[in-house]
Amino acid sequence: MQRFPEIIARYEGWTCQQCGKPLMPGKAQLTYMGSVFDVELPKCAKCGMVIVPEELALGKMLEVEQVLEDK
Amino acid sequence: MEQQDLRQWEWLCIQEEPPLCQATCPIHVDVRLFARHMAAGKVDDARKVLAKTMPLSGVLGRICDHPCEQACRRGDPRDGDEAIRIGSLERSCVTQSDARPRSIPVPPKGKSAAVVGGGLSGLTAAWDLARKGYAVHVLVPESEIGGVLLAYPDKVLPKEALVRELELMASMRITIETNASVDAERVESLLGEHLGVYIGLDSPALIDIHLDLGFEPDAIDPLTRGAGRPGLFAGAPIVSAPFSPIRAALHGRQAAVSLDRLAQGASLTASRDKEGPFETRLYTSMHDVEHARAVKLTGPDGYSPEEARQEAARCIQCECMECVKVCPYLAHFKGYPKKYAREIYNNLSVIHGLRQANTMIESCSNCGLCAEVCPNDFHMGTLCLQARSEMVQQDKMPPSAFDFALRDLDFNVSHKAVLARPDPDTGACEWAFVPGCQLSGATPEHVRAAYDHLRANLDGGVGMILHCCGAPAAWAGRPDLLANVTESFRSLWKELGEPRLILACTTCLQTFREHLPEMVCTSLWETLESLALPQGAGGQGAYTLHDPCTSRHEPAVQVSARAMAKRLGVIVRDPDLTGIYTECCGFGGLMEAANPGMATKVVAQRTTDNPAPFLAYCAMCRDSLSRQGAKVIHLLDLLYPHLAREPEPASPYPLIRSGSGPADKHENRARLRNQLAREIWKEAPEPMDDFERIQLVLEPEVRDAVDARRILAEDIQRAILHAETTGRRMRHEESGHFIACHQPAAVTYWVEYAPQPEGLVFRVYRAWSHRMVIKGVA
Repeated sequence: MQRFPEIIARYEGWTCQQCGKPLMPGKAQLTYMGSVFDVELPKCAKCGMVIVPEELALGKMLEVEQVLEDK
Repeated sequence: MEQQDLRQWEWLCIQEEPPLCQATCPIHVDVRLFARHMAAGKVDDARKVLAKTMPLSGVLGRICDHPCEQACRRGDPRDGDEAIRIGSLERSCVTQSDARPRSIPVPPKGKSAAVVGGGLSGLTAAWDLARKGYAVHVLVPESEIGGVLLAYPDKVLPKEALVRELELMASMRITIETNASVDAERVESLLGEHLGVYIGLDSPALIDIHLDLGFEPDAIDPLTRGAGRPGLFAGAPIVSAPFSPIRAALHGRQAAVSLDRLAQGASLTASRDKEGPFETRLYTSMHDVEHARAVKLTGPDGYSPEEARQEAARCIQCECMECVKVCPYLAHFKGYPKKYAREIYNNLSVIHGLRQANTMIESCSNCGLCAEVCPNDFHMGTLCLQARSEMVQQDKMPPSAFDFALRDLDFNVSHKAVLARPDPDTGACEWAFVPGCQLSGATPEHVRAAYDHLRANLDGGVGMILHCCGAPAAWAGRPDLLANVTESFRSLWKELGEPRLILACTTCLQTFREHLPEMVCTSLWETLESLALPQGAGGQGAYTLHDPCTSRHEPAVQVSARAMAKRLGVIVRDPDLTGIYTECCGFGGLMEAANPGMATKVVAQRTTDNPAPFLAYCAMCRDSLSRQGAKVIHLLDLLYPHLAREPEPASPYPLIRSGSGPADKHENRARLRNQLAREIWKEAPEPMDDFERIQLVLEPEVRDAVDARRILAEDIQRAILHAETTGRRMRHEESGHFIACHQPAAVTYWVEYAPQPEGLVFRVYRAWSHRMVIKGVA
């Protein structure tokens, strides 16, 4: 599982409004073009809703997307 | 792409054709590379280049009669100065260096050939045959080896030079018999012992041998060197004066090829058209070449090393590269179209593994400048569009390449943006104004002003059609979608009674000419030229006029745009590349969509090579050229100066043009459509979608970031609406901000926002997106 503790740390203080639970680092699965990746994301301990941090979406994830697209 | 298609594309690009000197050289010495090494002072490397092709380079390099010089591009009387003195450079090289390429030992073929004559042609035949693995028996009638070579003064060809080459030959499978008696009987027995015999006639002792052997020197086959009977070959007769050493070498070489083919049972004549001098197709421009005469020979011994270096440096290293010189995109991939065609072919043929040409295929602007400057009209855009279409069919088009542009197209043919109405007063429709998506999105106020102006000045009724022409579909490799869009346009046109169309955009013009040829189209500029100017029209100052690339083959449009600019009181100057040679602004072919960095590079070249301010007459060109801060105005800004906003958009990313508030082109088009329907045709507005009620507030830097990430206001509005209605959102206690996400199709959008006290107003702090899909999160 890929972990990005520094990025996740920036999302302390966010809570899931539906459940009222704070977001904690938790496992999530991302898929793209047939590949599946396990990553740790800020996640609601109750309903499982996650945030994909901006830093991750525009950084590592974009890189992987481009590799998978053979860019 | 079939291999046959690749061959056709490859044939068009002449960059890999040999230069004139090499094609003219009977044995095709790589003179260009030789000169490059000489210019760099790398004499040993230069010598290796000679020795790679030349037999006995220490001899031939001294005495070659250099027909290459006659062909040298610099020596062209029309635009050159003086040919490179290649012969003198060779001489300088071989006197300075004895370097040879390492000869790779060839396994013996187990066959032998005979050569009669110790002249250059016989020695060449022996040299070549031995290098191919044949044992060679050389019969020299004289006591000394060399034939006519022995007649050269020592100053020109020192004895040691020949001795040195003969030493090398002695290390090969060559036996040389001097004082050999050679007559018809001996030749007959040689023919029996060996696979064939070559008679090198460049030897005084052999001047009459053809009489004995029963062939005429004039009747020797010019290609195979065949001399009238199987296995017998001959060349280099000294009767055909003046004696040409390089021709003698060619004859020996041709005979060696024939003997080799004979040994293999292959055709003696097939595919030999490139042996000996031939015409090259390479084109080399002298446009940027500084004229300089040849370096004078000062000493009696030829060029000194320094003089040789200087003279070699005059070599312009002939190549074509005409398209690469004018196109930042073609230059970016560090090759030329022939190479690119191969890469694209390989890319399309990949079953497993990386498709390395995707970015290249996606990034071409399809502007066609390459075809204009190419001697063979190689159109990289046509090749790339064909490849894109194939990638789409194979389901191999990377999703991120064009889907933003195609979503834009979807919107522009949706009921929110489409409008087709006849003249509101008369219901007649002899004309219809088609402003195009870009003008409608960038400056909708110009659409209204131009329409009012046309209606006031044209008879027969002027209608209006707001609808995409389909160009983005063609660019994205989607002929299916293009056909749908053009069909939809055609039916609107028919409903209006087939009006003559007035087009503000030359991309629409180009697309309709190709795909809807039954429609009569004229450009807005040609139409306006014959009409009175609107009140208050005009400007001043001097502008660099930028023709859109889609006007390249529309000279009438370009002339009208210039005439209008003049009428409007401004001075126009042409950029370095203009008219038929105009450059793309970086938007064409969806370059900007697939590769924003490349588009920026293209704009940078255009706006730094030419002085600002610029005058454009395509809305997209205007927005694109201004992306790095160049001042650009549109011809309509001069026509309707009272509507002018800032002369350049505030955003460096004008894909979504900045205006007041988070206006984007979608919104502008939708607003324009509704405004025209309401104000001109007195229709009720289209009902609003719920998400459209969400009002956004973005600081300029947030808006720029959002634009650069290709996130539409609509995507943000939908994400907020979804969060606000479902309650599925994250909340930050301290700041009171929310984070919400929304995945309308392939892309997931995220937004951090905070509700404002008044109504449905939300302040947006940031927005981002990704294509990876989160499993289990809606």
